[in-house]
Amino acid sequence: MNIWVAIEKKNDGALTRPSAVAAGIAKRLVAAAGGELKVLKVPSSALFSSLVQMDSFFATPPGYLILPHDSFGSQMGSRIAARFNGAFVPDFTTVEAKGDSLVFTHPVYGGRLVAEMTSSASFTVATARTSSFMDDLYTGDIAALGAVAELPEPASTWGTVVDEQKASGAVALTEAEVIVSGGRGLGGPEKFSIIEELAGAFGNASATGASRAAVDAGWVPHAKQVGQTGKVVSPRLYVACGISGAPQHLAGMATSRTILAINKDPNAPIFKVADIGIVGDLFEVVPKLAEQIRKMRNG
Amino acid sequence: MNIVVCIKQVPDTAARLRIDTSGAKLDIADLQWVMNPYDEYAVEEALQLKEKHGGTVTVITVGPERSNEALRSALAMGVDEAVRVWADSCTGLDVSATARILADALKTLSFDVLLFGRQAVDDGAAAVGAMIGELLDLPCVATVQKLEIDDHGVAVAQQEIEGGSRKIQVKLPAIFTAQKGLNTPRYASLPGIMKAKKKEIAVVAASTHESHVSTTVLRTPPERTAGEVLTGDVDTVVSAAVQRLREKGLV
Repeated sequence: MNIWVAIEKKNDGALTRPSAVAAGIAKRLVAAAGGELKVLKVPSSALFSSLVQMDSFFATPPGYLILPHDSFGSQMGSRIAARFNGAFVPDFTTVEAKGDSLVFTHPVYGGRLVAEMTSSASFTVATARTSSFMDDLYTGDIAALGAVAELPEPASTWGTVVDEQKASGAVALTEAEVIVSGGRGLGGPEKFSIIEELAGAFGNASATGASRAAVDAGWVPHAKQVGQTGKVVSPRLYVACGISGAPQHLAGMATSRTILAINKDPNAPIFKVADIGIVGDLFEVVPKLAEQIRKMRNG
Repeated sequence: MNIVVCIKQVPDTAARLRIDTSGAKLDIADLQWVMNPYDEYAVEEALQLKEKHGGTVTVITVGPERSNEALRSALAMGVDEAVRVWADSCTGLDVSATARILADALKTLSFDVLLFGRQAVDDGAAAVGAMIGELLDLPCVATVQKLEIDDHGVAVAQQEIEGGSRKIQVKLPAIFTAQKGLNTPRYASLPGIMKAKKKEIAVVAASTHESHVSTTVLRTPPERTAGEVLTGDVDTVVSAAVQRLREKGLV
């Protein structure tokens, strides 16, 4: 079974973390099932150009092409599937080789149900929810994986990036190891600073999130929303502060490895999924938690 | 400016979901359906573009007869025309086949702007917009938070990316997929609802494309069990919680 991987080549040449995870997944699958692994390095600018330059690469497509399900891979993967007559399996959270094919699981209905999926196509593109595959992060030399084809910068593009903004030091919600989220219990936008303070205490790989209630109230931008109509996340630690735990929110974070919930209502549904629950006033608990964690981390 | 919005009818996000006896499909008996929430942003954006630039707004879906309801929701918001694409062979379509069928139907419509929701909340593929871009050779900018189109057919779309955003300039015709936050979808007015009820929905026969991806098992995710709940004095519970995090290697 030939399994190839397409990874994003940023302008600075660095490999993105989601792409490195996708490479690791392909490597593991080929090691288990046998076959050929090829790496296609795609410049970010190809997102805004024709894929005509890929035609020769996919003249004889592999059984599967793996990409990360991020802003690069989701678009590139679906376009490659459309252009080269492939099937498409989106956002898979587990994958295993069974005989001549791969069996994927893909959360559906915002994570409220899980679908086991297979493809009967001769060429299938699949995108990985890389936060579910942290153990597959590939840190070695890309050339050691297999044949590497580098797509040249496109000669012409249909779109021009006129501006790019990144919040300084911001880790994407879907890649963060620790997420601290605030909900309705915060009572207002100005209180979000205690959420940021706690996230900061956990170090650089942390991010802040929010429930739909906090987003709809206009306290935080939608990009931070966790849940069925927001991001689905699986960090090592999810801290829910003042979030009651509506099913739509739980669907977006229930695959976190550990959940810590802080809520003043002992009957809040969030406690039914939390590994550690603190019943208390978040305005007292959260700053103290931040202080103790910061102390502990600073030794 | 002619605008086409591609929408999908999905189970209401608040609906209770049951798996049918096959173990691989949703039990759709008594299920409540809605227009995919992200598609509402696409419809609203289309109406605002029409208000600014003139033209018509057409909404299109690939779906069985019950999808008329979602089309009527869009008509009630102020959309001009509605098209439903379907054939009996369409049951169990995968995303690639859906995109190909939709692309064939779109070839018969003329548009400057093609809008989608950023993803459907049922299968969460976020793929059809980009696929249509490839199939119809059109630019597609996904996950758009802000869209400005000038009188010369040049669009600047701000899209969400990991940890930030970027602005892309493209020339129409082009595809955009709407992220929440792009606008605030309007409520349908009573006259709008009345008008939508009477409006004829064009039904178009779907072209035939084979589906290859199938769901073999549908299940509920593993249930989490409630852990320890700490109550009492703030300093004590915080220390206890930090201790637990430490035991798990999280601090």
